[in-house]
Amino acid sequence: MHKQRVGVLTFIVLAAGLLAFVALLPFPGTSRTCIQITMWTPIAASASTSLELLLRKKIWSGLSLLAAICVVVASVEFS
Amino acid sequence: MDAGLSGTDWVLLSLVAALAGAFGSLFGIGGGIVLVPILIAFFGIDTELARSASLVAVSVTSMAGSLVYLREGVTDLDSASFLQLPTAIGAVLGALLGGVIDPRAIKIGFACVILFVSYRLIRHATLKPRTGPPTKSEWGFALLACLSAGILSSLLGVGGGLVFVPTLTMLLHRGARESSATSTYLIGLTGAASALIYAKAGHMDYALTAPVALGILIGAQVGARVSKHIPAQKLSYAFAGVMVVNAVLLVNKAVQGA
Repeated sequence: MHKQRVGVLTFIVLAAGLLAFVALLPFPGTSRTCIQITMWTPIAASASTSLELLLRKKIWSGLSLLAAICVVVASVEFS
Repeated sequence: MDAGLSGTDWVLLSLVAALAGAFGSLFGIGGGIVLVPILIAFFGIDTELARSASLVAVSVTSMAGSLVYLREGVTDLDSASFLQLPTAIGAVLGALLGGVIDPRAIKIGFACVILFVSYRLIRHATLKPRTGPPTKSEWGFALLACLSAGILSSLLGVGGGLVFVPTLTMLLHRGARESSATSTYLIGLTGAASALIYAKAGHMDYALTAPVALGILIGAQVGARVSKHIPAQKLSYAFAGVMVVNAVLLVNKAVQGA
């Protein structure tokens, strides 16, 4: 049962990202923004999952995911 | 770096991506394994641009598929969180290597991976899932497998689900549907990380990527919903057949230097 509860915030972030992508795509000149949204949404969703896991006292899995996000963001910034 | 798409190409790309997204979501492999060879072999798109478009598509497949699986509560977020760190490290390593490797070598490497995946799909269709909690050594192998999945994902523009699904099933003893759901979630961060690095390096055509991402989005929703109702074994054989044809076309392109 905990899997369903932990995923609530992740679900909301993913849905918001997809909604933004679909809503912006029909407008001309928005391809870049749409693609940027789809690239950052999974990172934001992972951050949400991490937060949810930490709040549920699943410290190691939460911290592990947080470290993965840090690796991704650092590599994008310094590449 | 513009692919120069006509209106017909835009629609055709969306349709092909929809099909790839449906297959990807159905098998938890992200769709990139189907999409990249088609973009290169049939649409004549550069390997680098096809790879980055596919990685964005992989992220969208993950987002759309995960919405369905999260709502059903079959995604194992706890295990996914542990597997995400080695995967992210692998994805970054792969993206750094991807800029310096010959595209022909990538095409041939991709063909080899496709043939391996086809073999796995046929074999997996006849395997029984293992039960009981995984041992420490199995967890160790799973983390190593995820590191290699990250590298593979970045280099070839695929989701890495072709490694995640067997890893979750065979090493972490998860059921087929739970493995597909968790793999679908995992490929999101992997694909996004690699795509962002390629985009920053200028290896991305946004005009090409947009229809591909839209098609994948639609296809992934369909795939995740019908996965419960389709006889997996027959579909695996058909899918493997299509992938073998893709592999032959890719090797032909690489040999011709296209």
